[in-house]
Amino acid sequence: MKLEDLRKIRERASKELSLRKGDARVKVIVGMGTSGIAAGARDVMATFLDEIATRNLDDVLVTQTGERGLASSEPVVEVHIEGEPTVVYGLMTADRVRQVVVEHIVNGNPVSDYVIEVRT
Amino acid sequence: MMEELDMHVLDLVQNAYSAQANTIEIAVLCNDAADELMLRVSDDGAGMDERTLESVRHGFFSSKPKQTVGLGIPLLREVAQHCDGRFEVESTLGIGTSVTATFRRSHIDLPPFGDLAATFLNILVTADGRCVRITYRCDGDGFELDTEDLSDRLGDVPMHHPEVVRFLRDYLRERIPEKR
Repeated sequence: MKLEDLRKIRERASKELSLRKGDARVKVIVGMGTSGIAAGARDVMATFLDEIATRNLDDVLVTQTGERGLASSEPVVEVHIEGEPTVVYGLMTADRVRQVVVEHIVNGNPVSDYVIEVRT
Repeated sequence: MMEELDMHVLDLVQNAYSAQANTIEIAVLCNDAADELMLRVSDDGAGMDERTLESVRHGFFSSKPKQTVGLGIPLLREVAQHCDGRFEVESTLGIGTSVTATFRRSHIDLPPFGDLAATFLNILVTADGRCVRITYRCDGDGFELDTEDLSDRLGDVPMHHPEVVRFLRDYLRERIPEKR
């Protein structure tokens, strides 16, 4: 595994990318303040990245933010899908992330059990 | 809370982001001869004034009322001191901050790393245009990764592209032993 291998990825991926318009369809934001990290945000983030890698989700951008002011619901995750209300999930775990990826991000149905807020 | 060392790395990086840093350097280094493990996160963010710095060094601290940003610092200081190590913060307003924690590696209470490869992957993929440099050297394994260099190699392919995430995940797993 060498950094030079990235060149091949670049060649393959930029061909696909040029067929699509720029921005990611889905944006996922994981709360990574101290309380989020302490509550398990590292594994939540890692599971999102794992799912993107294994399911080949090339239109999902995962990013992070500081405190969200919802310490009792950490780890907190926001899912923004183009043209839809923002859904905020609380008390996330690796298992819940896998469920949200399949049901919400891939199939378009928010997992209501874990939703703590919806913003339009 | 924060029972694994890599959580502190994530926390320090988040502090650097909160301080509006554009360049963040992360080092995880083992020195076998000295039986020492060192974590360092340096940034070019806002920096701290003397009073804030004093409370970071000695007190229970958050620069933001009602928020917990910075609360990880006293926990890290406590772990370092308990494990026969040092905890040092240097900071200059407008220049940046550097936090260093060392530990005696053989100390019985030294927390595990948790998942350092996943932590580095998290940091690289979510760098979001910032320059993040990671230096890792432990037990003969080592690497340096730099988001600027990675972006140069990737051109217009984003860091969150599944193939890139797979590549980085495997690259890091290959170089960081699962359990320290």
